[in-house]
Amino acid sequence: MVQDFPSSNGSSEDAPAPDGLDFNNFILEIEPEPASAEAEPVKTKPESNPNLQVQFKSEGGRLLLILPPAPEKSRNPVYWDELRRQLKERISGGERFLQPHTPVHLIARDRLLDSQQVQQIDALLSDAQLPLKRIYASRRQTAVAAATAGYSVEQQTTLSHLGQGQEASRQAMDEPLYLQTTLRSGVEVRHRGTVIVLGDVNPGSSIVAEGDIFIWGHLRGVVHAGAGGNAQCRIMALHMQPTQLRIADKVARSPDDPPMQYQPEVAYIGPDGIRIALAAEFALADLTTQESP
Amino acid sequence: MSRIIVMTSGKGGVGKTTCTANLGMALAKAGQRVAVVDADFGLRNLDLLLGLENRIVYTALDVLAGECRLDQALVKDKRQPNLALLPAAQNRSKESIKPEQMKRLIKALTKVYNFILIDSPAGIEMGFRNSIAAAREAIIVTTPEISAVRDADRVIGLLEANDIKAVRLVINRLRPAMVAAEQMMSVKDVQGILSIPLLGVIPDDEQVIVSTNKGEPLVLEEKLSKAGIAFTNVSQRLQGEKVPLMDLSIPQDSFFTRLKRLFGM
Amino acid sequence: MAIPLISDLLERFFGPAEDPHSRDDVKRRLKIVLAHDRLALDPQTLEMMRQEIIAVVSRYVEVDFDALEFSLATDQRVTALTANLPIRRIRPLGRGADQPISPDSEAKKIELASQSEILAMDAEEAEAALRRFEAKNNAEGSSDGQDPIHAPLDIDRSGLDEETQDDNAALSEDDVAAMNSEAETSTETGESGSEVPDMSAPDSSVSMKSSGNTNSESA
Repeated sequence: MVQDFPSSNGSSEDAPAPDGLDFNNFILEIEPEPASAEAEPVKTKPESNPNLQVQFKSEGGRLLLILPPAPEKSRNPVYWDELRRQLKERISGGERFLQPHTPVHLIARDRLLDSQQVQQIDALLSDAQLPLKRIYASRRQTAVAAATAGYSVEQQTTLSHLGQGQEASRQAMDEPLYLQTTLRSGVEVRHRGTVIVLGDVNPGSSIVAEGDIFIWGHLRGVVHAGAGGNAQCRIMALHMQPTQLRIADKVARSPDDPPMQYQPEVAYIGPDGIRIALAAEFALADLTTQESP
Repeated sequence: MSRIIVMTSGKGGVGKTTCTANLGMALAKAGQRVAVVDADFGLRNLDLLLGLENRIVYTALDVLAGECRLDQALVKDKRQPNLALLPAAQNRSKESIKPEQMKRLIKALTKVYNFILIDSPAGIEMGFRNSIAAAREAIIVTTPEISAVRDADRVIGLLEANDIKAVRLVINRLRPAMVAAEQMMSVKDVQGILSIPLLGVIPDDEQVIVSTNKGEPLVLEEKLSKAGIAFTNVSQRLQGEKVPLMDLSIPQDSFFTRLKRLFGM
Repeated sequence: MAIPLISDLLERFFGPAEDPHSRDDVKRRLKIVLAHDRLALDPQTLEMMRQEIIAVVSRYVEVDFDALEFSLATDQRVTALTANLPIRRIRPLGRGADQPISPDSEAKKIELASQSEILAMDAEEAEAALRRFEAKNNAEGSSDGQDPIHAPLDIDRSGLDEETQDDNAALSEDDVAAMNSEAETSTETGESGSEVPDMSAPDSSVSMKSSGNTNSESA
């Protein structure tokens, strides 16, 4: 049995749909940014993926800590405070998977880090018993700062194999991101893969994942699965009470009258938009018949 | 010519956002085409007061990033189609938007809407500067409290320095009984100190909390509460009508009522 | 229902006997605070005023130019200038001029009230302010009981001696008496050869008022 997730008209809306009224049917665009917008398309292009946040990645027995690109070049800029928060979150969420004493290679990319910031990163890693082995930076200032602070540094002019490999292979998703935390208002998690949260997702927070989203807790915020356009992705939560659900390009909002009690549920794209099913009754067979194109 | 009005106060928690929601809704009810703009990036709340939080798909930041058109980001109100909300981003810092970008957003909105209310964040930092960048008029929201009036005064000075000449005052959360007991500044006191034209006085009203809980501005109620009437009056004055100030005086204690109180009746 | 005490009963019936009206308090406090908040005087005028004040003060004392502070606050109702002029030493105007002076102990304050402020202030407020000011002065051990309202230039506890009297005909007799008494004490300490400063008053401050009124509410 599949229960309908009541968005407006029981289906989804792509955007706040214009009503029949005359003045509601308009197209409004802002003027393009004067100058400089077109000036450096080459620079912005490699970082066009907005879903880049701090991530750990294991590669050939090494643990890579990959920082998001420099904020000034990104559409979703990650500034230092936010970077620190994300790093903390990643470490706390994955500490059971991060083997102590695994050497960490910090891929700073084109980010500007001062020696104090490098030391702070090192301190956070040390808390999880992860030694900072080496720093790769493409910015000279960062390399110098890290070297001054006494770290082993490698300055790279190109980050082909480490930092930017993921942009090149756009189709391959990253390994799942495992978070053990409560996501509070204002926090946005973006990941090029599946996101698993052991904790609550509070109103005002959001998750944008290119894969599935699993919430082992209350889901009250905004979650977007299959953000890269994959309509096969699902959202599961123990307590599904989201502000809004999005899968691929579909949007559904929570019902106006919430159910009396909650059970684990699954959201997926059905023939007429986003639907929700009880997890217990969500048979795989159902999925295949409804979803396979 | 569209009217671009920033709602600001300096101090937080005086009811800026409540005023914006109610004023926007009241103007829309009166047939004006109204866009309310949440300029509080990082700590948005206007969507909650309007009950539109679950309809937000894109935010102003997405528009600026070129990820959607402006009309796609506007959340139209089902109850009142004349009203649209331009939501702020919840997740990014206030520094992520510049005054120049705000101007571009507002300028585009003027093509469709004749009232644009900008809900400014508290404080006088970047968020405030963004919200006043495009404004031509300002409504100062204050309460009859020393800290709120002081901050309002500071903000009035900043607005004048930024060439926003039409600055008007809304006094929120007035408690007539306390004024009568000489335990609260009166409307006259506050206006005398700030010396800007008075647009209206909103009495303290528990219904405000109820309406916030429901996400339904007071002015939508069928039977308007005192605060609801006051907000409607403010909107009418804003449209140039002459509406006398509401009578907020409380009936004098008669001997009989005192007697009743004496015996705990 | 318990029987209320008689006083309680009376209070409930007639309202509180002496109700302190916080509304007046808040208005008063706001006015002062706003006077400080609203800063509006063009820099040239302020600079001119500053120069002149320093010039006048420098006739009597040596001002520490590195540490002096001026701040001005106005609104259409109240204008208050606060000047903080740390004094290095007293100018040798007569006897006792070469007494040792410790600069540390002599953070001096000069408080000025402008004419517009005085005009604007309610007579009541001015009086209240004055009373507080006097009370403060007296509490600090100042011996002058005269009304500063009538002293155009009121420099107290500045360690001046009798000779100054001639230069300051405007000073009231009480004022001079106060100065003399202090000048004497300071002379004594000076003669004892110690490094004790002659400004023995705990908060030795020079207070100047323009023609007859004052607002000394700035902290």
